[in-house]
Amino acid sequence: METLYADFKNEPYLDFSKDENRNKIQSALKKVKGSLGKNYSPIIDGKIVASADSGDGSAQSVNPAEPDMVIGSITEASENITEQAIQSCKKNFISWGTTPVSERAQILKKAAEIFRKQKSELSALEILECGKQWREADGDMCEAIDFLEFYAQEAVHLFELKQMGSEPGLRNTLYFKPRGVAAVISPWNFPIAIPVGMIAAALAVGNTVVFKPAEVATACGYKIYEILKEAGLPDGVLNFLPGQGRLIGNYLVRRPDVSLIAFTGSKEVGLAIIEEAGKTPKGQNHVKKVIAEMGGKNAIIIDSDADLDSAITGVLQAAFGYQGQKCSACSRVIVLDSVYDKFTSRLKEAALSIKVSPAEDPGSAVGAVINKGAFEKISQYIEIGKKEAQVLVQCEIPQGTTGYFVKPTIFCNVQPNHRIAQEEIFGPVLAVLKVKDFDEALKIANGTQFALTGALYSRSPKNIERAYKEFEVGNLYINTKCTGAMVARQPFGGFKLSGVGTKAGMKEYLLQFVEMKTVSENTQRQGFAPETI
Amino acid sequence: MTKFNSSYNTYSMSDIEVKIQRLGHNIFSQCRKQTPSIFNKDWWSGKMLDLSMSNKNFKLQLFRFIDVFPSLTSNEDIRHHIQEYFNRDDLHLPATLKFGLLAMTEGITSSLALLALKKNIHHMAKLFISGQNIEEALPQLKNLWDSEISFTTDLLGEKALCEKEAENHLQQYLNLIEKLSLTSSAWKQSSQLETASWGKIPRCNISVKISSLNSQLDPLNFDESLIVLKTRLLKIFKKAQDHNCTVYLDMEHYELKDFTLALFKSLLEDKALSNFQEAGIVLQAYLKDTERDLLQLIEWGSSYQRKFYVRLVKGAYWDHETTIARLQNWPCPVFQKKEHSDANYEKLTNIILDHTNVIRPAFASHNIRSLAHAITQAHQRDLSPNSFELQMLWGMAEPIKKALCQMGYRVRDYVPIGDLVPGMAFLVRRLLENTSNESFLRQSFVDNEEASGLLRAPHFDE
Repeated sequence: METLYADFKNEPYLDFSKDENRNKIQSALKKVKGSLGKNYSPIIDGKIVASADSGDGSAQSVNPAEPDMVIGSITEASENITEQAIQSCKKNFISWGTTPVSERAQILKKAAEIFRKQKSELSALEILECGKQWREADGDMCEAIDFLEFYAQEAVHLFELKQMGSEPGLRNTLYFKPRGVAAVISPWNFPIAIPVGMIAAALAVGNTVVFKPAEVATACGYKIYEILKEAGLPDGVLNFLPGQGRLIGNYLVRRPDVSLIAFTGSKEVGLAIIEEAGKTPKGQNHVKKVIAEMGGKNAIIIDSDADLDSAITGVLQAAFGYQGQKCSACSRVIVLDSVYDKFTSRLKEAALSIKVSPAEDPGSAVGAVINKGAFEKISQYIEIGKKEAQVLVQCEIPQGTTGYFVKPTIFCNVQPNHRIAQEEIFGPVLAVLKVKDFDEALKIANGTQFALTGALYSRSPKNIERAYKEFEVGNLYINTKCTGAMVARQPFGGFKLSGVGTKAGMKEYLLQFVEMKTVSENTQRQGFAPETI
Repeated sequence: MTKFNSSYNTYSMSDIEVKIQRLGHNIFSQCRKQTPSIFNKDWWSGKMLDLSMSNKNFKLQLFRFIDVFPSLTSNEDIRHHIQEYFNRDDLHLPATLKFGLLAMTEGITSSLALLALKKNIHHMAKLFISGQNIEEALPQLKNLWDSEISFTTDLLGEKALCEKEAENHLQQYLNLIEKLSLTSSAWKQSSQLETASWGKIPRCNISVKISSLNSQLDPLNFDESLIVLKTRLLKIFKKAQDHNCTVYLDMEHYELKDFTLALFKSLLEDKALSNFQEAGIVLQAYLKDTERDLLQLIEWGSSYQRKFYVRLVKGAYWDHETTIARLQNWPCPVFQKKEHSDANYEKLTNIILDHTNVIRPAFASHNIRSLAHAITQAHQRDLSPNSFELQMLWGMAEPIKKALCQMGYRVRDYVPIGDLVPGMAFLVRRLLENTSNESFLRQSFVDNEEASGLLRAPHFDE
């Protein structure tokens, strides 16, 4: 088998068994807490802008585990400001698009270096603003650094001219050019890594970017802007637009000067973007390219011969890690009849042993969900689940908290057509389904609109081989949990209604951010042609 | 440089090196003609290990099959797995074995053949695991004691998934101490096993894996994990104090190393244990950190005026640590060359023997060179033979134990107790250890390498 990216070294996670690493995060948390409450405003051409119709700064980003703790106030961008940002990007595309790829790559690598230096503070900010546990936040930082390094490296390779065919007489060259203005609309669940990935890919190949972070992750989003600027990114190549997705996002998607939309978020919003972006309003001489990573209803299959110790640990981490708020999270576990009782009884006890507490607590296994809206939506699904199926276990939440804590809940006796087995909940809610054999397990696993991640715990070589071929997901994991994809090792992304576009974290991802051109030049003159090109 | 310092080893050998070699050859000469039971080819397990050593693909499939075996509940299941694991062209199995394996999957003899297979795998497990529970293990411990070998017992089941399991493990350890102390008190006296230079030592001795006592143990959550585990271990240590029992904290994966050391210190600093002299900790020579850890332990022990046991081992998670470090892009915590671990073992041995005012040494190894070095270095320091002990794993290296025991040293077996399912991780580690090219036992008793080569002094850089 061919090995790809064997030379790429992923940024190592912090080893939290070392006290110096625990201390780093602990003191960063203190430091960050002491400097909260900044205002975040739109930044265009390197300057803070506001207009009559922009927000009054009363919008806030808060700590979901402690909503009284304000992370920062937000001056929301208006349509008018959004248009200014697009025009700035359009203007600056001329120079950025023709800047040598090596220079662009250098800036991204410099940014990676700055991220490395600020890793602890950024992790602390994520812990406070988005409720990510320590390891989750650290993982997000490492992934962001990987995206910067990897896309910088691969963009340079991509822009080396390629010759097609080797026959004499006609020289065929393939090369790439950037598309133009990219709109990056990013989620809050990987508040640094996902926007950095989309931005880095767009910038590396020469596009300029209007960046709209998720509003609940505004402070994290601003840090990305700040670091790229410090790394030497020229003003106006990346414009920062905090504010409401509904307003700014909708506007960006409709504008003729936007060439490309990179989105990660819900299926509903993603499909709406794809539909809207398909239109070609007057003055738009291109079809917009949409890269959308949407949702999942990811399943883990537990085979009759699975190693239950690792399966249960894996299921709980995949289902409840970051409160289940990952597109890769496990929300269904499909268990073969012969191990069902053993598995569910141990799963139940294991779930009862985990701690629900603010992400800031190093012992937190499950923290608060992102905001009130998420809290209400997940709570509704738990009510639906109670009607459809049976509660296997519900964990306790901290007493007297004002945070958005929902009780992590596992349902059993779930049927494949139940809503809790079909719809993405995006919270710590897990449906357990019993099946008679491996055929049925695969059928149910594949029986949703989605095809993002999945896992199989099995020690049967035959069933493992079948899963390779028949388990319909973009990222399949065997005997390990279905979350935690790494750049260049597990390029991430799915199909069906889970998304359109190539996987993030591999070279081919960059192809979506460029146009391809081939040039064929006749090299003969009166029958005389050079032997080699 | 003297003129004797030539390329001839015998000339350049220091006096102490000559003594180590002499003792090593002496031990070798007493045990070379015997075969440790695991390599006995009259048994199925010996045959399987033999084939594993020459056939890498078979070894992989066999170990994976053994790993899945305890979770297979029906004959049908076992048949499928045999087919899937062994009916492969890349194994190049001898015809008789292939025929034998496939006979289990079809035909009228299939059920009988499966029965034999189950018996064989259980037999293999029983080579390393003394019994499924304390009742089964007690007669084995009595036999050991009667043959002048002492023991430390360990309950298998290394990881607790939930607090119920952790509480259950705690109860089992408490129960173990009670039963051991009650039963062993009736056994015969043995001055070789019960007298140390500092006084009488307990018959009862247990080894505890801390990961079995808290399902939420996570070094990231250091302080809270420490509180929970300390509370549980205090119960074990107090019970041990009441029943005159030694307790070792086993050392597990590198991830838990710093935590385990901190926990050990915290326990001994507790007022409730201020008179407890029977605590022990394990240090792994394959870790680059261990020298520093040992020196810190000695300093801590001196300042708190505590005496405790240190069991020095090479370390049993080498493959795991190496894989994790590569997977995570972390610096590898273990020496990559086995010789470096061996050299470090000797270095640490010397440090330990220089600090017997704090440490009661236990040298755990199956490597005759390492043991001969420790014994000779102790002798060199005028330490009496009962001021330290030698530890080995139950079911392994019987000829070496016998030889050392006859020489008058206190030999202690590490005796695991437990079911096959929780014991599987332990079993697979033992199988890996015994079939590794670098296994001292394999080199000595299977490959029959020259004693002089096996006894050569290990160095850090060669």
